[in-house]
Amino acid sequence: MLSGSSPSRYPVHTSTHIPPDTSFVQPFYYSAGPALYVSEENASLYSADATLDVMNGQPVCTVTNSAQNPAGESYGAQLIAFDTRAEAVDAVESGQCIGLLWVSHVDFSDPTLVEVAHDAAKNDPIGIAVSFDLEIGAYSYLTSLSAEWMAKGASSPILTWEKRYQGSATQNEQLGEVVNAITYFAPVPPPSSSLSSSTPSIRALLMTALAAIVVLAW
Amino acid sequence: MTTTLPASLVTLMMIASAMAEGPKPAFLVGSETSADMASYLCNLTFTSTPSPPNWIEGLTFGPFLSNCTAPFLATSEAELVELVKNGTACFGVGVSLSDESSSEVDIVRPFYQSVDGAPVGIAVQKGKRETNLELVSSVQAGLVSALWAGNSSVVTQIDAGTPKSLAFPVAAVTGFLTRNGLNLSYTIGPTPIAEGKLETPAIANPVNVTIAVYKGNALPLADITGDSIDSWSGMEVEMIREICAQPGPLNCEDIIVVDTIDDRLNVLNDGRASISIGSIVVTQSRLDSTS
Repeated sequence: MLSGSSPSRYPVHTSTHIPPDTSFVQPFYYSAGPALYVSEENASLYSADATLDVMNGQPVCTVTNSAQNPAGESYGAQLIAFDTRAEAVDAVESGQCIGLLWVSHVDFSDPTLVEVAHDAAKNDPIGIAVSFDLEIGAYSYLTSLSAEWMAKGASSPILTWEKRYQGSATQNEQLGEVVNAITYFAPVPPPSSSLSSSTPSIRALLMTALAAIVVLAW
Repeated sequence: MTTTLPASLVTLMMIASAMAEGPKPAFLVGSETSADMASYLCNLTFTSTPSPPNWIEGLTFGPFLSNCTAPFLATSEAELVELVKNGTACFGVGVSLSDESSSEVDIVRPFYQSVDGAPVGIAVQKGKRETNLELVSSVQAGLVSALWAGNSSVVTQIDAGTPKSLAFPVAAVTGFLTRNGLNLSYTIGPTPIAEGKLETPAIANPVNVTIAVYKGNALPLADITGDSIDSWSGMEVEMIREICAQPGPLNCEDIIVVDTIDDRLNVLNDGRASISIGSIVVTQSRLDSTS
Protein backbone atom coordinates (compact mmCIF):
# COMPACT_ATOMS: atom_id res chain seq x y z
CA MET A 1 0.00 0.00 0.00
CA LEU A 2 1.15 3.53 -0.63
CA SER A 3 1.49 4.59 2.95
CA GLY A 4 -0.04 7.93 3.68
CA SER A 5 -1.21 8.35 0.15
CA SER A 6 -4.75 8.85 -0.93
CA PRO A 7 -5.93 6.13 -3.24
CA SER A 8 -6.61 7.73 -6.57
CA ARG A 9 -10.08 7.02 -7.78
CA TYR A 10 -8.87 7.68 -11.26
CA PRO A 11 -5.96 6.27 -13.24
CA VAL A 12 -2.62 7.54 -12.15
CA HIS A 13 -0.76 8.17 -15.33
CA THR A 14 2.71 9.47 -15.22
CA SER A 15 5.59 9.54 -17.52
CA THR A 16 7.50 6.99 -19.40
CA HIS A 17 9.65 6.67 -22.45
CA ILE A 18 8.67 4.28 -25.16
CA PRO A 19 10.99 1.29 -25.45
CA PRO A 20 12.03 0.46 -28.99
CA ASP A 21 10.12 -2.82 -29.07
CA THR A 22 6.83 -1.37 -27.96
CA SER A 23 3.83 -0.19 -29.90
CA PHE A 24 0.64 1.51 -28.83
CA VAL A 25 -2.88 0.55 -29.71
CA GLN A 26 -4.84 3.34 -31.32
CA PRO A 27 -7.00 5.22 -30.88
CA PHE A 28 -5.59 6.18 -27.51
CA TYR A 29 -8.26 5.98 -24.87
CA TYR A 30 -7.35 9.03 -22.84
CA SER A 31 -5.02 11.99 -22.45
CA ALA A 32 -3.68 14.03 -19.58
CA GLY A 33 -1.18 16.81 -19.04
CA PRO A 34 0.65 18.64 -16.27
CA ALA A 35 -1.55 19.97 -13.50
CA LEU A 36 -1.12 21.60 -10.11
CA TYR A 37 -2.97 20.18 -7.12
CA VAL A 38 -3.23 22.06 -3.84
CA SER A 39 -4.74 21.30 -0.47
CA GLU A 40 -8.47 21.87 -0.13
CA GLU A 41 -8.06 24.82 2.22
CA ASN A 42 -5.74 26.60 -0.20
CA ALA A 43 -7.82 25.99 -3.31
CA SER A 44 -9.75 29.23 -2.80
CA LEU A 45 -6.51 31.18 -3.28
CA TYR A 46 -6.59 30.39 -6.98
CA SER A 47 -8.95 31.80 -9.54
CA ALA A 48 -11.00 29.52 -11.74
CA ASP A 49 -8.91 30.45 -14.75
CA ALA A 50 -5.54 30.06 -13.04
CA THR A 51 -2.71 28.78 -15.22
CA LEU A 52 0.44 26.89 -14.34
CA ASP A 53 2.21 30.24 -14.28
CA VAL A 54 1.21 30.37 -10.61
CA MET A 55 4.09 27.96 -10.03
CA ASN A 56 6.66 30.52 -11.17
CA GLY A 57 9.29 30.90 -8.47
CA GLN A 58 7.28 28.77 -6.04
CA PRO A 59 8.26 25.48 -4.37
CA VAL A 60 6.27 22.70 -5.97
CA CYS A 61 6.34 19.06 -4.90
CA THR A 62 6.71 16.31 -7.45
CA VAL A 63 8.02 12.81 -7.93
CA THR A 64 11.49 12.02 -9.21
CA ASN A 65 11.62 11.38 -12.95
CA SER A 66 8.02 12.36 -13.51
CA ALA A 67 7.42 13.34 -17.12
CA GLN A 68 5.61 16.40 -15.85
CA ASN A 69 8.81 17.78 -14.35
CA PRO A 70 10.10 19.41 -17.56
CA ALA A 71 6.77 21.18 -17.88
CA GLY A 72 7.05 22.30 -14.27
CA GLU A 73 10.51 23.71 -14.90
CA SER A 74 9.30 25.50 -18.00
CA TYR A 75 6.78 27.30 -15.79
CA GLY A 76 9.55 28.36 -13.42
CA ALA A 77 8.58 26.06 -10.56
CA GLN A 78 11.17 25.22 -7.92
CA LEU A 79 10.65 21.50 -7.96
CA ILE A 80 11.09 19.43 -4.82
CA ALA A 81 11.19 15.81 -5.89
CA PHE A 82 10.22 12.84 -3.71
CA ASP A 83 10.59 9.15 -4.34
CA THR A 84 6.89 8.40 -4.13
CA ARG A 85 3.67 10.23 -4.73
CA ALA A 86 2.64 9.54 -1.14
CA GLU A 87 5.65 11.43 0.18
CA ALA A 88 4.95 14.30 -2.16
CA VAL A 89 1.33 14.50 -1.04
CA ASP A 90 2.44 14.51 2.60
CA ALA A 91 4.81 17.36 1.79
CA VAL A 92 1.96 19.36 0.32
CA GLU A 93 -0.10 18.75 3.43
CA SER A 94 2.73 19.87 5.68
CA GLY A 95 3.26 23.06 3.71
CA GLN A 96 6.67 22.32 2.24
CA CYS A 97 5.38 23.38 -1.14
CA ILE A 98 2.40 25.16 -2.61
CA GLY A 99 1.11 22.03 -4.30
CA LEU A 100 1.76 18.84 -6.17
CA LEU A 101 2.73 18.71 -9.85
CA TRP A 102 0.95 15.70 -11.30
CA VAL A 103 -1.00 14.65 -14.35
CA SER A 104 -4.44 16.11 -14.78
CA HIS A 105 -7.82 14.49 -14.08
CA VAL A 106 -6.77 12.61 -10.97
CA ASP A 107 -9.09 12.37 -7.99
CA PHE A 108 -7.10 12.88 -4.80
CA SER A 109 -9.06 12.19 -1.67
CA ASP A 110 -7.98 11.42 1.89
CA PRO A 111 -6.31 13.84 1.96
CA THR A 112 -8.11 15.85 -0.64
CA LEU A 113 -6.06 17.72 -3.18
CA VAL A 114 -7.77 19.97 -5.68
CA GLU A 115 -6.63 20.57 -9.25
CA VAL A 116 -6.33 24.34 -9.66
CA ALA A 117 -4.44 24.64 -12.96
CA HIS A 118 -3.79 22.44 -15.95
CA ASP A 119 -2.08 22.91 -19.30
CA ALA A 120 -4.27 21.03 -21.76
CA ALA A 121 -1.99 21.99 -24.64
CA LYS A 122 0.64 19.73 -23.11
CA ASN A 123 -1.67 16.77 -22.80
CA ASP A 124 -0.12 13.45 -23.74
CA PRO A 125 -1.98 10.45 -25.04
CA ILE A 126 -2.57 7.48 -22.76
CA GLY A 127 -3.05 4.08 -24.22
CA ILE A 128 -2.51 0.36 -24.25
CA ALA A 129 1.10 -0.58 -24.87
CA VAL A 130 1.89 -3.89 -26.52
CA SER A 131 5.03 -5.81 -27.19
CA PHE A 132 6.19 -6.23 -30.78
CA ASP A 133 6.03 -9.96 -30.12
CA LEU A 134 2.27 -9.82 -29.78
CA GLU A 135 0.49 -11.49 -32.68
CA ILE A 136 -0.82 -8.97 -35.17
CA GLY A 137 -4.30 -10.48 -34.87
CA ALA A 138 -4.35 -9.75 -31.17
CA TYR A 139 -3.14 -6.22 -31.89
CA SER A 140 -5.97 -5.77 -34.39
CA TYR A 141 -8.44 -7.03 -31.85
CA LEU A 142 -7.26 -4.48 -29.29
CA THR A 143 -7.48 -1.77 -31.93
CA SER A 144 -11.04 -2.72 -32.74
CA LEU A 145 -11.93 -2.89 -29.06
CA SER A 146 -10.43 0.54 -28.40
CA ALA A 147 -12.49 2.00 -31.23
CA GLU A 148 -15.63 0.36 -29.89
CA TRP A 149 -15.04 1.88 -26.47
CA MET A 150 -15.25 5.28 -28.15
CA ALA A 151 -17.71 4.72 -30.96
CA LYS A 152 -21.05 4.96 -29.25
CA GLY A 153 -21.33 8.67 -28.64
CA ALA A 154 -22.63 9.75 -25.26
CA SER A 155 -23.09 6.14 -24.20
CA SER A 156 -19.53 5.14 -25.08
CA PRO A 157 -17.99 2.92 -22.40
CA ILE A 158 -14.98 5.19 -22.09
CA LEU A 159 -17.20 8.13 -21.08
CA THR A 160 -19.16 5.91 -18.72
CA TRP A 161 -15.98 4.72 -17.05
CA GLU A 162 -14.61 8.22 -16.73
CA LYS A 163 -17.80 9.35 -15.05
CA ARG A 164 -17.80 6.31 -12.77
CA TYR A 165 -14.23 6.68 -11.55
CA GLN A 166 -13.69 10.39 -11.87
CA GLY A 167 -14.74 11.22 -8.33
CA SER A 168 -14.04 14.90 -7.78
CA ALA A 169 -11.46 15.09 -10.53
CA THR A 170 -11.92 17.39 -13.47
CA GLN A 171 -13.28 15.95 -16.67
CA ASN A 172 -10.97 15.41 -19.62
CA GLU A 173 -11.74 18.32 -21.91
CA GLN A 174 -10.80 16.45 -25.08
CA LEU A 175 -12.37 13.10 -24.50
CA GLY A 176 -15.92 13.98 -25.46
CA GLU A 177 -14.79 15.58 -28.69
CA VAL A 178 -12.66 12.63 -29.67
CA VAL A 179 -15.41 10.20 -28.78
CA ASN A 180 -17.76 12.27 -30.89
CA ALA A 181 -15.36 12.20 -33.81
CA ILE A 182 -14.62 8.50 -33.55
CA THR A 183 -18.35 7.84 -33.30
CA TYR A 184 -18.98 9.67 -36.52
CA PHE A 185 -15.90 8.47 -38.33
CA ALA A 186 -15.28 5.06 -36.92
CA PRO A 187 -12.31 3.19 -38.29
CA VAL A 188 -12.85 0.20 -40.47
CA PRO A 189 -12.72 -2.88 -38.27
CA PRO A 190 -9.80 -5.15 -38.97
CA PRO A 191 -10.44 -8.12 -41.24
CA SER A 192 -12.14 -11.02 -39.53
CA SER A 193 -9.07 -13.16 -39.67
CA SER A 194 -8.66 -15.88 -37.14
CA LEU A 195 -6.07 -15.52 -34.46
CA SER A 196 -4.15 -18.68 -35.14
CA SER A 197 -0.81 -19.48 -33.66
CA SER A 198 0.70 -19.00 -37.09
CA THR A 199 -0.34 -15.35 -37.15
CA PRO A 200 2.84 -13.31 -37.57
CA SER A 201 3.91 -11.01 -34.81
CA ILE A 202 4.34 -7.29 -35.28
CA ARG A 203 8.09 -7.82 -35.09
CA ALA A 204 8.03 -10.42 -37.85
CA LEU A 205 6.03 -8.16 -40.13
CA LEU A 206 8.35 -5.26 -39.42
CA MET A 207 11.34 -7.40 -40.32
CA THR A 208 9.61 -8.36 -43.57
CA ALA A 209 8.93 -4.72 -44.31
CA LEU A 210 12.53 -3.72 -43.69
CA ALA A 211 13.75 -6.61 -45.83
CA ALA A 212 11.53 -5.44 -48.66
CA ILE A 213 12.93 -1.94 -48.34
CA VAL A 214 16.49 -3.25 -48.47
CA VAL A 215 15.68 -5.24 -51.59
CA LEU A 216 14.14 -2.18 -53.20
CA ALA A 217 17.20 -0.15 -52.31
CA TRP A 218 19.37 -2.66 -54.15
CA MET B 1 -34.31 -4.09 -74.35
CA THR B 2 -32.23 -2.57 -71.67
CA THR B 3 -32.22 -3.26 -68.00
CA THR B 4 -31.53 -0.52 -65.52
CA LEU B 5 -29.87 -1.57 -62.30
CA PRO B 6 -31.27 -0.05 -59.13
CA ALA B 7 -29.14 2.86 -57.97
CA SER B 8 -28.49 1.19 -54.64
CA LEU B 9 -27.13 -1.89 -56.37
CA VAL B 10 -24.89 0.22 -58.56
CA THR B 11 -23.58 1.95 -55.47
CA LEU B 12 -22.91 -1.35 -53.78
CA MET B 13 -21.04 -2.59 -56.84
CA MET B 14 -18.94 0.55 -56.88
CA ILE B 15 -18.11 0.14 -53.22
CA ALA B 16 -17.21 -3.50 -53.70
CA SER B 17 -15.03 -2.62 -56.67
CA ALA B 18 -13.27 0.13 -54.80
CA MET B 19 -12.55 -2.03 -51.79
CA ALA B 20 -11.65 -5.22 -53.58
CA GLU B 21 -8.05 -4.26 -54.19
CA GLY B 22 -7.59 -2.30 -51.01
CA PRO B 23 -7.03 1.42 -50.68
CA LYS B 24 -4.27 2.80 -52.89
CA PRO B 25 -2.54 5.79 -51.36
CA ALA B 26 -0.46 8.33 -53.20
CA PHE B 27 1.95 10.89 -51.90
CA LEU B 28 4.68 13.17 -53.06
CA VAL B 29 8.12 11.75 -53.66
CA GLY B 30 10.49 13.18 -51.10
CA SER B 31 7.81 14.17 -48.65
CA GLU B 32 8.61 12.24 -45.52
CA THR B 33 5.68 13.73 -43.68
CA SER B 34 3.26 12.51 -46.32
CA ALA B 35 4.91 9.09 -46.41
CA ASP B 36 4.65 8.81 -42.65
CA MET B 37 1.02 9.83 -42.61
CA ALA B 38 0.26 7.27 -45.29
CA SER B 39 2.17 4.67 -43.32
CA TYR B 40 0.26 5.56 -40.19
CA LEU B 41 -3.08 5.19 -41.91
CA CYS B 42 -2.24 2.16 -43.95
CA ASN B 43 -0.82 -0.41 -41.63
CA LEU B 44 1.94 -2.86 -42.37
CA THR B 45 1.25 -3.85 -45.92
CA PHE B 46 2.43 -0.41 -46.91
CA THR B 47 6.05 -1.36 -47.46
CA SER B 48 7.01 0.00 -50.85
CA THR B 49 8.01 3.47 -49.89
CA PRO B 50 11.07 4.79 -51.68
CA SER B 51 12.88 5.11 -48.42
CA PRO B 52 12.12 3.86 -44.95
CA PRO B 53 9.57 6.15 -43.39
CA ASN B 54 10.28 7.68 -40.06
CA TRP B 55 9.25 4.66 -38.07
CA ILE B 56 8.13 6.29 -34.92
CA GLU B 57 8.88 4.64 -31.67
CA GLY B 58 5.79 2.98 -30.43
CA LEU B 59 3.59 4.39 -33.12
CA THR B 60 4.70 2.42 -36.09
CA PHE B 61 1.54 0.67 -37.07
CA GLY B 62 -1.53 2.51 -38.14
CA PRO B 63 -4.70 0.52 -37.79
CA PHE B 64 -7.08 2.55 -39.80
CA LEU B 65 -6.86 1.14 -43.31
CA SER B 66 -6.21 -2.50 -43.83
CA ASN B 67 -4.72 -4.06 -46.93
CA CYS B 68 -3.39 -0.93 -48.60
CA THR B 69 -1.70 -1.70 -51.85
CA ALA B 70 1.62 -0.30 -52.99
CA PRO B 71 1.46 3.47 -53.11
CA PHE B 72 1.70 5.71 -56.12
CA LEU B 73 4.47 8.21 -55.90
CA ALA B 74 3.78 11.61 -57.39
CA THR B 75 6.51 13.97 -58.43
CA SER B 76 4.40 17.08 -58.17
CA GLU B 77 1.29 18.20 -56.37
CA ALA B 78 -0.56 18.48 -59.66
CA GLU B 79 0.27 14.86 -60.42
CA LEU B 80 -0.79 13.87 -56.91
CA VAL B 81 -4.15 15.54 -57.40
CA GLU B 82 -4.50 13.95 -60.83
CA LEU B 83 -3.87 10.46 -59.39
CA VAL B 84 -6.71 11.03 -56.96
CA LYS B 85 -8.97 12.81 -59.41
CA ASN B 86 -8.87 10.07 -62.03
CA GLY B 87 -9.28 7.34 -59.44
CA THR B 88 -5.83 5.83 -59.83
CA ALA B 89 -5.23 6.40 -56.13
CA CYS B 90 -7.92 6.09 -53.47
CA PHE B 91 -6.51 8.99 -51.53
CA GLY B 92 -3.61 11.40 -51.77
CA VAL B 93 -1.59 12.54 -48.79
CA GLY B 94 -0.16 16.03 -48.73
CA VAL B 95 -2.48 18.15 -50.84
CA SER B 96 -2.30 21.84 -50.01
CA LEU B 97 -5.25 24.17 -50.38
CA SER B 98 -2.80 26.68 -51.80
CA ASP B 99 -2.52 24.57 -54.91
CA GLU B 100 -5.09 25.49 -57.53
CA SER B 101 -5.67 21.90 -58.50
CA SER B 102 -6.83 21.08 -54.97
CA SER B 103 -10.28 22.35 -55.90
CA GLU B 104 -10.63 19.35 -58.20
CA VAL B 105 -10.66 16.96 -55.26
CA ASP B 106 -12.17 16.85 -51.78
CA ILE B 107 -9.90 17.30 -48.78
CA VAL B 108 -10.83 15.13 -45.84
CA ARG B 109 -11.09 17.07 -42.60
CA PRO B 110 -9.44 17.73 -40.27
CA PHE B 111 -6.28 18.96 -41.96
CA TYR B 112 -3.17 17.54 -40.41
CA GLN B 113 -0.61 20.14 -41.39
CA SER B 114 -0.17 23.61 -42.74
CA VAL B 115 2.71 24.88 -44.82
CA ASP B 116 3.27 28.56 -45.42
CA GLY B 117 -0.12 29.25 -43.90
CA ALA B 118 -2.01 26.92 -46.21
CA PRO B 119 -3.80 23.87 -44.75
CA VAL B 120 -2.55 20.53 -45.99
CA GLY B 121 -4.64 17.41 -45.91
CA ILE B 122 -5.60 14.13 -47.47
CA ALA B 123 -7.46 14.31 -50.76
CA VAL B 124 -10.10 11.95 -52.05
CA GLN B 125 -11.96 11.90 -55.35
CA LYS B 126 -14.99 14.15 -55.46
CA GLY B 127 -18.09 12.18 -54.55
CA LYS B 128 -16.02 9.54 -52.79
CA ARG B 129 -18.13 9.80 -49.69
CA GLU B 130 -21.10 8.53 -51.65
CA THR B 131 -19.21 5.71 -53.33
CA ASN B 132 -16.87 4.68 -50.56
CA LEU B 133 -17.94 6.13 -47.26
CA GLU B 134 -15.97 3.47 -45.45
CA LEU B 135 -12.71 4.70 -46.92
CA VAL B 136 -13.42 8.36 -46.20
CA SER B 137 -14.58 7.56 -42.68
CA SER B 138 -11.49 5.51 -42.00
CA VAL B 139 -9.21 8.29 -43.21
CA GLN B 140 -11.05 10.75 -41.01
CA ALA B 141 -10.83 8.48 -38.00
CA GLY B 142 -7.12 8.09 -38.63
CA LEU B 143 -6.67 11.84 -38.81
CA VAL B 144 -8.55 12.34 -35.58
CA SER B 145 -6.44 9.71 -33.87
CA ALA B 146 -3.24 11.18 -35.26
CA LEU B 147 -4.08 14.66 -34.03
CA TRP B 148 -5.54 13.94 -30.64
CA ALA B 149 -3.56 14.56 -27.50
CA GLY B 150 -1.68 17.70 -28.31
CA ASN B 151 2.06 17.92 -28.29
CA SER B 152 2.62 14.18 -28.18
CA SER B 153 0.21 13.43 -30.96
CA VAL B 154 1.24 11.22 -33.82
CA VAL B 155 1.39 14.27 -36.05
CA THR B 156 3.78 15.95 -33.67
CA GLN B 157 6.02 12.93 -33.64
CA ILE B 158 5.99 12.65 -37.39
CA ASP B 159 7.01 16.27 -37.48
CA ALA B 160 9.80 15.65 -35.00
CA GLY B 161 11.26 13.07 -37.36
CA THR B 162 11.13 15.33 -40.35
CA PRO B 163 14.23 17.33 -41.23
CA LYS B 164 12.30 20.47 -42.11
CA SER B 165 10.06 20.33 -39.10
CA LEU B 166 10.33 24.05 -38.47
CA ALA B 167 7.92 24.60 -41.33
CA PHE B 168 5.30 22.57 -39.55
CA PRO B 169 3.22 24.59 -37.06
CA VAL B 170 2.20 21.57 -35.09
CA ALA B 171 0.92 23.47 -32.12
CA ALA B 172 -1.58 25.26 -34.29
CA VAL B 173 -2.67 22.07 -35.95
CA THR B 174 -3.07 20.01 -32.82
CA GLY B 175 -4.57 22.99 -31.08
CA PHE B 176 -7.43 22.54 -33.46
CA LEU B 177 -8.36 19.57 -31.36
CA THR B 178 -6.83 20.24 -28.00
CA ARG B 179 -8.05 23.76 -27.48
CA ASN B 180 -10.87 24.46 -29.86
CA GLY B 181 -12.23 21.02 -30.36
CA LEU B 182 -13.19 19.34 -33.56
CA ASN B 183 -15.19 21.47 -35.89
CA LEU B 184 -17.34 18.84 -37.43
CA SER B 185 -18.87 21.29 -39.85
CA TYR B 186 -15.63 21.12 -41.80
CA THR B 187 -15.98 17.45 -42.46
CA ILE B 188 -17.33 16.00 -45.63
CA GLY B 189 -20.88 15.25 -44.69
CA PRO B 190 -20.43 13.41 -41.43
CA THR B 191 -22.66 10.39 -41.25
CA PRO B 192 -23.02 8.52 -37.99
CA ILE B 193 -22.17 4.89 -38.18
CA ALA B 194 -24.97 2.47 -37.64
CA GLU B 195 -25.23 1.08 -34.15
CA GLY B 196 -23.29 -2.11 -33.88
CA LYS B 197 -21.52 -1.74 -37.18
CA LEU B 198 -18.12 -2.29 -35.68
CA GLU B 199 -17.23 -5.89 -35.31
CA THR B 200 -14.33 -7.53 -33.62
CA PRO B 201 -12.33 -10.21 -35.40
CA ALA B 202 -13.67 -13.71 -35.43
CA ILE B 203 -12.51 -15.99 -32.67
CA ALA B 204 -10.59 -19.07 -33.65
CA ASN B 205 -7.55 -19.91 -31.61
CA PRO B 206 -7.23 -17.60 -28.63
CA VAL B 207 -3.88 -15.95 -28.13
CA ASN B 208 -2.35 -16.32 -24.69
CA VAL B 209 -1.48 -12.97 -23.17
CA THR B 210 -0.32 -11.59 -19.85
CA ILE B 211 -1.61 -8.11 -19.06
CA ALA B 212 0.12 -5.59 -16.82
CA VAL B 213 -1.58 -2.78 -14.96
CA TYR B 214 -0.07 -0.16 -12.71
CA LYS B 215 -0.87 -0.46 -9.01
CA GLY B 216 -2.11 3.10 -8.94
CA ASN B 217 -4.63 2.40 -11.67
CA ALA B 218 -6.52 -0.29 -9.85
CA LEU B 219 -8.45 -0.05 -6.63
CA PRO B 220 -8.07 -1.01 -3.89
CA LEU B 221 -4.42 -0.12 -3.84
CA ALA B 222 -3.78 -2.23 -0.78
CA ASP B 223 -2.96 -5.90 -1.13
CA ILE B 224 -4.24 -5.91 -4.63
CA THR B 225 -2.06 -8.75 -5.76
CA GLY B 226 -3.71 -11.04 -3.27
CA ASP B 227 -7.22 -10.42 -4.51
CA SER B 228 -9.19 -11.41 -7.56
CA ILE B 229 -9.64 -8.82 -10.26
CA ASP B 230 -13.35 -9.13 -9.53
CA SER B 231 -12.78 -6.98 -6.48
CA TRP B 232 -10.79 -4.33 -8.31
CA SER B 233 -12.14 -1.24 -9.99
CA GLY B 234 -10.92 1.61 -12.16
CA MET B 235 -10.94 2.53 -15.83
CA GLU B 236 -8.02 0.30 -16.69
CA VAL B 237 -9.54 -2.58 -14.75
CA GLU B 238 -12.75 -2.21 -16.76
CA MET B 239 -10.65 -2.47 -19.90
CA ILE B 240 -8.95 -5.63 -18.70
CA ARG B 241 -12.36 -7.14 -18.02
CA GLU B 242 -13.45 -6.32 -21.56
CA ILE B 243 -10.27 -7.63 -23.12
CA CYS B 244 -10.40 -10.82 -21.14
CA ALA B 245 -14.13 -11.34 -21.54
CA GLN B 246 -15.03 -14.92 -22.27
CA PRO B 247 -15.27 -16.13 -24.90
CA GLY B 248 -12.72 -13.86 -26.49
CA PRO B 249 -9.82 -14.00 -28.90
CA LEU B 250 -7.38 -13.35 -26.09
CA ASN B 251 -6.78 -15.85 -23.34
CA CYS B 252 -5.64 -13.85 -20.34
CA GLU B 253 -3.18 -16.17 -18.69
CA ASP B 254 -2.16 -13.75 -16.00
CA ILE B 255 -2.58 -10.18 -14.83
CA ILE B 256 0.47 -8.52 -13.36
CA VAL B 257 0.22 -5.55 -11.03
CA VAL B 258 3.35 -3.44 -11.28
CA ASP B 259 4.47 -1.15 -8.49
CA THR B 260 6.21 1.59 -10.41
CA ILE B 261 5.34 3.70 -13.39
CA ASP B 262 8.49 2.61 -15.18
CA ASP B 263 7.58 -1.05 -14.80
CA ARG B 264 4.48 -0.53 -16.93
CA LEU B 265 6.67 -0.75 -20.00
CA ASN B 266 9.57 -2.65 -18.48
CA VAL B 267 7.32 -5.69 -18.28
CA LEU B 268 6.93 -5.61 -22.04
CA ASN B 269 10.66 -5.40 -22.56
CA ASP B 270 11.59 -8.23 -20.23
CA GLY B 271 8.81 -10.47 -21.50
CA ARG B 272 6.78 -10.64 -18.31
CA ALA B 273 3.75 -9.27 -20.16
CA SER B 274 2.68 -8.64 -23.73
CA ILE B 275 0.04 -5.98 -23.01
CA SER B 276 0.30 -3.08 -20.58
CA ILE B 277 -2.61 -0.79 -19.92
CA GLY B 278 -2.37 2.82 -18.80
CA SER B 279 0.90 4.13 -20.16
CA ILE B 280 1.28 7.74 -21.09
CA VAL B 281 3.15 8.44 -24.29
CA VAL B 282 5.91 10.92 -23.74
CA THR B 283 8.55 11.15 -26.38
CA GLN B 284 12.03 12.50 -25.97
CA SER B 285 11.21 15.26 -28.44
CA ARG B 286 8.31 16.29 -26.23
CA LEU B 287 10.55 16.38 -23.17
CA ASP B 288 13.19 18.31 -25.06
CA SER B 289 10.66 20.86 -26.22
CA THR B 290 9.48 21.62 -22.72
CA SER B 291 12.74 21.50 -20.85
